[in-house]
Amino acid sequence: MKLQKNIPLVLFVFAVNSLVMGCGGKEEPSTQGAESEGKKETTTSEATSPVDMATAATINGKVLFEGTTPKMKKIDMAAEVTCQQMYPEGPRTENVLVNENGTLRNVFVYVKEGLGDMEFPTPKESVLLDQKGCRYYPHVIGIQAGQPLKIRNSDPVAHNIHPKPKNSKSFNISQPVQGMETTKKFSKPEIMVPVSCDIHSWMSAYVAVLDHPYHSTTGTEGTFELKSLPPGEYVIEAWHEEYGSQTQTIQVGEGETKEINFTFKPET
Amino acid sequence: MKKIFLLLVGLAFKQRRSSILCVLLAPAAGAGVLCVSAVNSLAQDAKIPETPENIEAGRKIYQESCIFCHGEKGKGEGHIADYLWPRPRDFTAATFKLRTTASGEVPFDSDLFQTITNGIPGTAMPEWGSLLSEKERWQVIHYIKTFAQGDYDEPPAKANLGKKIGASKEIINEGKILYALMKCWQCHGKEGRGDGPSAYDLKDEWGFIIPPADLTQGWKYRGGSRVEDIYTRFSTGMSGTPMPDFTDAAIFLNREGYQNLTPFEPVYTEEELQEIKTYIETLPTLEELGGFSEEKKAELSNRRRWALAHYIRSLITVEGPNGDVVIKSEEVEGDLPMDPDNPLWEKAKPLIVPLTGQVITKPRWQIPTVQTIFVRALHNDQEIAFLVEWSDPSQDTLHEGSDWPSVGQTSTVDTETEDTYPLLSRRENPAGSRRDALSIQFPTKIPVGPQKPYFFWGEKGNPVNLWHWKSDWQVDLERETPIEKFLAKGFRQWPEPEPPESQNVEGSGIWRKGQWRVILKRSLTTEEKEIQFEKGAFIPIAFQAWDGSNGEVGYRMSLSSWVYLLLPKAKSLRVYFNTLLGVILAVGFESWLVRRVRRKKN
Repeated sequence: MKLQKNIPLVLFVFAVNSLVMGCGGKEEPSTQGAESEGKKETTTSEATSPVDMATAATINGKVLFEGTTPKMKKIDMAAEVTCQQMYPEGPRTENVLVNENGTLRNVFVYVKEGLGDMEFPTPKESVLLDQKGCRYYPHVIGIQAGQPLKIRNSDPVAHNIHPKPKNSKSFNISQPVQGMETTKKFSKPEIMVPVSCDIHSWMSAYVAVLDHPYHSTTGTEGTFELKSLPPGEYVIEAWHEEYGSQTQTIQVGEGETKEINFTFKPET
Repeated sequence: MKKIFLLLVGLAFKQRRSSILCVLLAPAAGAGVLCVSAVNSLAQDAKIPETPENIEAGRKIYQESCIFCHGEKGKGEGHIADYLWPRPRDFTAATFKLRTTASGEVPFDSDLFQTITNGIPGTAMPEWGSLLSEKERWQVIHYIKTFAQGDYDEPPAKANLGKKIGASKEIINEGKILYALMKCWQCHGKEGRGDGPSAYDLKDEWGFIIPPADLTQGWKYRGGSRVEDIYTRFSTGMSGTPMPDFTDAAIFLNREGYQNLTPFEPVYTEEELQEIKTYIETLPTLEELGGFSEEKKAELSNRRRWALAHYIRSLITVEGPNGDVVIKSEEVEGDLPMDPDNPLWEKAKPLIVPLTGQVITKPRWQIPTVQTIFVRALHNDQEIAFLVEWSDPSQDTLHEGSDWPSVGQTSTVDTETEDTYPLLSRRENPAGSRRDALSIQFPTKIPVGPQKPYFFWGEKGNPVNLWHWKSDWQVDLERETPIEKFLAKGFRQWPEPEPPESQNVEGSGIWRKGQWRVILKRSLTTEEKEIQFEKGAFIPIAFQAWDGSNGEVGYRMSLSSWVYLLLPKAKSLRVYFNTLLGVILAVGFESWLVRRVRRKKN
């Protein structure tokens, strides 16, 4: 009797549970996913932030691509059928991704100089680096030194995460189980820490480690935004894995929003 | 310089002995304590202080003993570094394979001490334990650390090394399933022969090709083959190499993580998959796992790592070259088995023959695949057969061009060929364009006294025969035999095939799961001017091997020095006669007795 009475309750708990779990499971890792986490950082509204939000400025803009879009090399994923299946048109490398609007994806834009001695609190929330379809999402990611980097394996295959930092300690850990997550940190700033998987030689990601929160990676729209900047003069660098880096110096006043664009073209 | 090189290479092939330090300390540390960790806790820091005097003393030792390989600046670029493979360690990176510290950490001083003392099996790094005093070894450690000054400032974090769990059938079986679930086979191959699907692309942090360890060859495990060593390797990872740390992975095994078993299907049989599935059912769910205490998680991880270590230990079939140099052929009745699976082969004890890269003539070859072969011999009253087995991760049965790279110029060898050791990626060198091959080498007659032909293809006036087995001939159904007999008169010219009427070696070979097993057979005696297999004589025999997909052809090969073949003399007839006589007498007496008893009854 007792049990029967409880059935609706049990069912309800179960339904809520599966709803919650379902949502968690459906979380689609994408370049956007980490960008949203990245945005969290750029809004340095924490009490300990040295920035006066009332006078904070913004620098935003686009990264344009000029020239013929290079064709990316095919990746032979035959050894990992479960990954290969995720690319109906066949997997290709991601070194150069030109968006439909003529902008360049995966360009890391950050404040290179201009913050002086300002010290920024280390964010406690982690940044996600996901492995899905034998690829890293996002391909280029920015974090602060000491900020947790959560590395997840969403694949049913084994990956090993093997970053090769020069300034921080490296590590090489195995994630042979689907869903496994490992949290690691890089202690010192470095542009860029290459991340690779020895098991799948085509896998590559770049982690930018900074001592401040002002960075942004271009996505499908090719835009970037550096918010909550104290007014001042900055050297902004745009980094791309194939085309190197470019810098621009820009001054922003109190509460000002300024736009700058970068243009990358393949060497001819 | 060559002498030093040879000395080092020679030392490297000595088998690793268990650490004396470890043996001495283990009893002192009490029962149940890991030998490795015992050493650590007692000697994490150098036993002698890091004073300028000691560093200076270390510098002197380094310049006398280490500089040839590791270089003046410690970058692993000494004069002979280009001739070594694996290459000498670059000390400026402070990255070391053999540690008891966590992944990515610098080693403890005691780890460096262990490595220097014991050497690194399968490499040119010798055991300095017998060459330098303990004090000198600590001094040199202090000096080595100066090459990467800042990196050692922070004390490294200790790896998560737990209490030893002993071997049992049950734990080895669990280890076998964990080997599957942890996907060790991805690199090391299902049978552990280093032939996994990801085996060919691996590079170390310096960009050099690094094949995964062949786990069946325990004497070449870089960090030693004791179960404790194996346990430590995947608890720490091997920094600088693709080998990761499995400590966390060993905690995280859960039921949901193995819902999709597609990646296992090309590797594991239906039956094995069933076994794996049954094990997965015993794993905790993610939710259960979340509820486990840290203590429980650590215990789980520890047990699983020991299980895996015991299983990997069990893959080591033979301990390694033991100094034996004689292949003792066993006599059998009837036909010699031409199938390597025939149980008759069990009768013959295998000789383990070490092979090294060919470095006598250009192009020299420092990265051969085949570094060990197992040889057995059986004979009957007519013939002799050899079973030769070796690990080779890929079966290469196509061959472009002729037998030797430039048969057109048979008289001289091109000495201008580049004298380096190109580190080829197997992917860059398409599998199949070169065959796998094996040669058994005999002098043309049993040498009188100690005068043998030169071990590398003989010499002028003292030639050798090569029984050259070729994988492409093996799969060619039109061929009667996959073996061609050559006559070699020294390595300065290519061996020449013997005329068709003298071709008298039969054979067959199969490749399975990263291993070639080849049988070569000939009559004990022939009419040819070639080796005759006399009983009771020590007949010199040597081997050469090629792995096609490793770019091995011609001089790019591995070769052994001479070992010996012995067909034991039949026991003297008198032994048989006496036995026979005994039997006849006994039978005769018994039948007489029986008859007598019967007669009495009647």
